[in-house]
Amino acid sequence: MAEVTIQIDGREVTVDAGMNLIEAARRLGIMIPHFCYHPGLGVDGNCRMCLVEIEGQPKPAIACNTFARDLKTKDGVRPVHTVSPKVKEWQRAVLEFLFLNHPLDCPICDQSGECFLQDYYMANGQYVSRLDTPKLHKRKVVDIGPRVKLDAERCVLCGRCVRFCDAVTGTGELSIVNRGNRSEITSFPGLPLANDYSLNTVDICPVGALTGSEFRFRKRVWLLSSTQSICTGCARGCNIYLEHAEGLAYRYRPRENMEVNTYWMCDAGRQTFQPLNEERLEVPEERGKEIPIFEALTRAAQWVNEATGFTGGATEGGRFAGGSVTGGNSAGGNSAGGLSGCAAGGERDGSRVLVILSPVSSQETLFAAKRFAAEILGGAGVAGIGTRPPGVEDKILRKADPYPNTAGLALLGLARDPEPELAKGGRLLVIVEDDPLGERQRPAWMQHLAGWERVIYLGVNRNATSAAAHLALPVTPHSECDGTYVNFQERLQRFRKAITPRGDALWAPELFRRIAVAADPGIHAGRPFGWLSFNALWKDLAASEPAFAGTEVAKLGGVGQTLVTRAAGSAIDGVGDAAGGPAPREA
Amino acid sequence: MEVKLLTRNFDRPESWTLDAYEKAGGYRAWKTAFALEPEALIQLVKDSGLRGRGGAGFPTGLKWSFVPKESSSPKYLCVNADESEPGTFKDRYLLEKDPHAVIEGILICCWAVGIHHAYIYVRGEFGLPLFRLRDAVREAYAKGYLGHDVDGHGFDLEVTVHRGGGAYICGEETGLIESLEGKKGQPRIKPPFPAVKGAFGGPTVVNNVETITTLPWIVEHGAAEYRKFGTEKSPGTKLFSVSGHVVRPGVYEIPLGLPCKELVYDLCGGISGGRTMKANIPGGSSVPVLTGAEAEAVNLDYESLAAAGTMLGSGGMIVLDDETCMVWTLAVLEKFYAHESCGQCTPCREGTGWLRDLVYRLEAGGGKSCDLETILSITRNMMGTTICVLADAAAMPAASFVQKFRGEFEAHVGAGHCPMRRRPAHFLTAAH
Repeated sequence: MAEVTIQIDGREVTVDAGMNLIEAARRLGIMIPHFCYHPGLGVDGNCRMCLVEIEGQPKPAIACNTFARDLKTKDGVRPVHTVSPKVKEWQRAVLEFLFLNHPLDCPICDQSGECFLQDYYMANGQYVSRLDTPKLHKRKVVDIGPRVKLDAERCVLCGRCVRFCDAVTGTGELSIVNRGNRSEITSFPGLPLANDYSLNTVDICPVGALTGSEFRFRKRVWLLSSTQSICTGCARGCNIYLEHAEGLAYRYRPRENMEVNTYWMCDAGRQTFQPLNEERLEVPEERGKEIPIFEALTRAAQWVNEATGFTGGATEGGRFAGGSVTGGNSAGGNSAGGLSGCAAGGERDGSRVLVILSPVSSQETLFAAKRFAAEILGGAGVAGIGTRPPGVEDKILRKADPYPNTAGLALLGLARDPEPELAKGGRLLVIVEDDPLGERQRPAWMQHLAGWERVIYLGVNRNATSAAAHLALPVTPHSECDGTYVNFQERLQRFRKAITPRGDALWAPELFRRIAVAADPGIHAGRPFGWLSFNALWKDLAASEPAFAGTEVAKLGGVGQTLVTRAAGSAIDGVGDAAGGPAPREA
Repeated sequence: MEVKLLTRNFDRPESWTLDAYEKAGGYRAWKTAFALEPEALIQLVKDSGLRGRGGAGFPTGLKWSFVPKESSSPKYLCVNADESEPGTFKDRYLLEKDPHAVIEGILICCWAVGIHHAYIYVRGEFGLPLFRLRDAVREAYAKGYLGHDVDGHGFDLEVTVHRGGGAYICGEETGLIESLEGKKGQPRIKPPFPAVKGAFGGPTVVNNVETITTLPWIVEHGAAEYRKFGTEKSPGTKLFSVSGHVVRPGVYEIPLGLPCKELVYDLCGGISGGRTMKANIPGGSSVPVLTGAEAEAVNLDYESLAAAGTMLGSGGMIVLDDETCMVWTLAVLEKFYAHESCGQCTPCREGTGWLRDLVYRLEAGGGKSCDLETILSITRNMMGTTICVLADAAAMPAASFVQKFRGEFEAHVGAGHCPMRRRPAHFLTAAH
């Protein structure tokens, strides 16, 4: 499309001819106040808040329905003013109209702090009120849907929610009924706002008219911190803001990523923050009894050594160039390790050990587990496909695959069903973040577990599996560490640490490293577990895993990137959706 | 001086029947029109200087020429018969007394613009006009003037009569289209204009009944003949619906440019009861009011009325005598606009209700002197800031009433009650 150079408040910007002035001004960092316009819902032009002055036009123009090409005339491009005295006066007038029947109940309104009315009033209102006619009363605290409450008095009737239900979900539950200042948002009789995306209406409501039933009165929004994260509800990996305070997650809010979730996320995904707060495994447990973390690590290391027949040696590090060999506790071991192997005492036999992974884990956890299995568990079997039942897939965002990192697991070559190996039984079973007993409820698995001498569980929550394990070790969920997931499009997406780890919870790679060191102090500073940070781990990961070769995780940015090496074809077998699946529906 | 172009058949017996219309020479102009190329027909209408009679006065030929000749989606004509401006009742007369002239006008317009489906959007409250129009359309279909291959000319035209739901806002062209499409009647954001994207997404001409009904006469007699009536810039005749305190209220067809005095005092027989004209709203309730003296000095054409600070509008003249309370009158008007605002745009949705509340309070004697400034400031903030002009329609009378009859408003504040004699008793209890 042709480009036009336009002038807003004396500054020039070159934009597509079809871009409206709100978006063009945004490019310059100029925020034109508006209620009804939303980039995902298009222009409606009813709020009249975005009035701007265009030189040579006597009447105010609405910025949302004025496009860059409209400014072109024979004599050049007409300059636009967004903060001139005239514009300020127009905006002040529209605000005054909006407040005429607004209840001004900010102290008890959940939107307080993220309310457009408040923001615009503070920026450009602050007049002495001359509103002395009785205010109109409308319905309040209406359950317009199972998850959303309506306060019609607070509503500015921008119609965003109505247009969302018409254009994005296509369910059309909402409408504006009545005319004039009696207008009200309502749902059709017998058709509550119950679609799978209903909470997006709460996000896009610029005022406190629609609030989430669950978040209502739980936290003042200015006390929340916002961290860029990824929803773990399905293989889509919607980009989100994880909003938290005092170590608790309070809500997920969608974060714009045009390649993945556009502006939205599903209601089910929003509920998935609950396990971050509740039923957490905070302290290691041995057979249901809480034990100190150092004891738990020692126990785990001891079990690992016993299961792999490791009796010392401590020369693992010797196999890696640059590893400093201390040989401190190499009781009778062979300290002269060679590249091809060690003496008998240093060899590990992983044939009776199994590690079960789950696509719920971050890429780092999966990689660390794979490395741990290879180096410390003597090449034990590593496999997993996740045991959750598939979810409901729709044409908007939701994928049937209920895991955030199925593709990542497949890219490491570990997506195999562990059940045949599991059924054989053995000496040590390590379950990483999967909850087969809780999520699948298969009696068979319970019997399988009985065939194992020892079961170590690494997980975030207390659940059926943690209860069944002999040793349960707490690890951090995605709210408490940095990490990445690979979504169904094979897009590597980053989440950030938001909250300080709860209790003794450790970043899973760190936990593996500590067990490894405890099991064999010889590898203390050696390469196989040389990662002390997220970036260090990724340097290792990118170098070791062909699928991730060349990935510079520091350059992922907020929206992630499709794995370069996986441009053609998909490694995901029968799980989730190939990269060419239906794109998120454009609004 | 009355002239009878549009009203030429009004006095004939059973003028609404096809028989009577044909006997009076009806359905001849349309044959003439078919003989012309569409472009020539549009040019003819342009030459006649015919301007839209719905209120805005936009040149009709020019409006037609905005419609793209080739269109991938069907083109439509919407005849606006949603006559709902308070004080206006001319279209109802046309539909009641000469519905076949409307249909012939539709044929001419559709041939000129290349339209094969016309809708007539009839005001929901209309009874007789609707029934006569429906009958007329039925007759025209039966006679082959409408439908497939109109009168053997190889031109198809369907006409659908659509009854509105009774909303003022559906008289606004895009509100009409929304309503016609089965949606809630509220104006659409422009651009795109209906000529480009209107009803059902197709290019659409929206013309007032009076505009359409003028076409047969113009085609039959030619543009030059039409221009003999009226003024240079406002050619032709116009129907005025005069109501209020005149001896003979009613619909009058006059050449544009006629002095208002002549209409009020000669044709309508002057102010009833021998009283004097205190105020005159010349173009329907939405236009700024004139004082009696101003009205007596003005001519009735687009330009003269604009120069006097008001508008010709739809020609719904409301004459008010010296006993009328202007605050009460304004309260009635503002109640109407607050009721009829579609509620889409903030300034109109809130502003109309606010104006109504303030004026009601003034009329009830509870007003404050600062209310007058507030009213004027609200009207300034409403005008020109909304999708359609309903906000302006509510603001213009309010502003002009307060400006021109300020003393009366102040008297209400000072007295603490309405000082005028004529005021219905039920008024104060009916605030909303």
